[in-house]
Amino acid sequence: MIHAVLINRFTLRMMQEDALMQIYASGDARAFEELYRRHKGGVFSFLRRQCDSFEVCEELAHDTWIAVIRQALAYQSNNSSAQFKTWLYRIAHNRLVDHWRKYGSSANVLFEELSDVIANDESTNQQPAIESHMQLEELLSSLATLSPEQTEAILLKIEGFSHAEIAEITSAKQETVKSRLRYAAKHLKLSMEFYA
Amino acid sequence: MTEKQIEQLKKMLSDAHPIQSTDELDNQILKAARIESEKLKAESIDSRSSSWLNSLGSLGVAAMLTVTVFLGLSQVLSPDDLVANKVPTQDVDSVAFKQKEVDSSVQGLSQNTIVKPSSTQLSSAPSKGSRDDILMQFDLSETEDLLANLSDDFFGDAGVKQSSIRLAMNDINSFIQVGEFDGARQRYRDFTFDCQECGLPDSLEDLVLAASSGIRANGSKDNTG
Repeated sequence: MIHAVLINRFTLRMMQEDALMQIYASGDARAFEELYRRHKGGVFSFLRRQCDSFEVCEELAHDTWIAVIRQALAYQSNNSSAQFKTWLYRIAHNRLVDHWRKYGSSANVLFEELSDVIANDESTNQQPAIESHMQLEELLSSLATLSPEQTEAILLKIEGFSHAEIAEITSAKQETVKSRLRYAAKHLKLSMEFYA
Repeated sequence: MTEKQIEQLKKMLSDAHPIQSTDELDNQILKAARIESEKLKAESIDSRSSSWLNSLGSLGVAAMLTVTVFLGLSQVLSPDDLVANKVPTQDVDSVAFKQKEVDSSVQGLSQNTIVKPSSTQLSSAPSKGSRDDILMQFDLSETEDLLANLSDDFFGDAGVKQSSIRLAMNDINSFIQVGEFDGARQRYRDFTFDCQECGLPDSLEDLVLAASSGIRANGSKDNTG
């Protein structure tokens, strides 16, 4: 048990996320601020890479965090064993899927983002190798062929989630997650080797 | 996907411009969280009060049951039945004598309590010896790791942060190694004074306990995606 004197800003930064949710559920807003500080960037990037409008993305992020705020007590009683991050991303995924159902899935923003990276890379290298250039083109065209579900699986994997956690977030079977990642890897493999 | 592929893609995305939400969104969310926290605090107090009232209620029921049982028994039994043995009149003196013994022992007890007040204080406030024992648990690398987990915004410049942590922790470690615990405490106070906004624990003992206990979390670093 943590001594009351230790519950200051320093301690909040060191605490596990489930404990922070419990503290927030008892009415300490600082615990939420700490959770938000840790995950706001990750959640926002995850959403932004899958929806083409910045404004829509902000709306989805807003709805995600408001759901966290409103379910603080429920999290304490129903999800004590669940990892906070998995729970948070599941909420974000659900908001995203609701959006896709209403308005259709968006253009691949991840594709555009990587295009920018590659464009910058080419401009900094005075004479890019022809082979490398071809591989970059291949990477971009491969990314463009991925389905939203495959792109999402890659983004969650990059975020550090295991197959089981991705399955939990996306409400899919673990085998489905693995096959999505396998498919993505098969299409991206050649290009990825370039960027080692 | 292989780990290598994931790492490569992660590197590419980290090269991209950081994706950030607007300050307006941050403010909206944090404001909503603060409003909700007030409600949660009120609910938390209410639930504590109601559990206190529930336990009071239980005590009340128990008291009523006890009274009912006594009343029932008094209806069944006569007052004489309730007295086990009548005290013979010749034993009155001995009873009085015993009462004297009881009085003197009670007086002795109260004297003991007055004479040794510090024995109760010791259990609540740790002695200097026990506080020194806590400092003996100081682990240089563990404490440095714990402080290094703090985000750079605590210290401003990352380089300054690293060097000031290392310098202070090495000094503190040196003091502890030679048994100069007060010197270590003073050095820690200086360190916290240099970074008052860091919200560091009030005492060096608290810091050592924090480093050695389970409150250190891997997830404390920024996760900006």
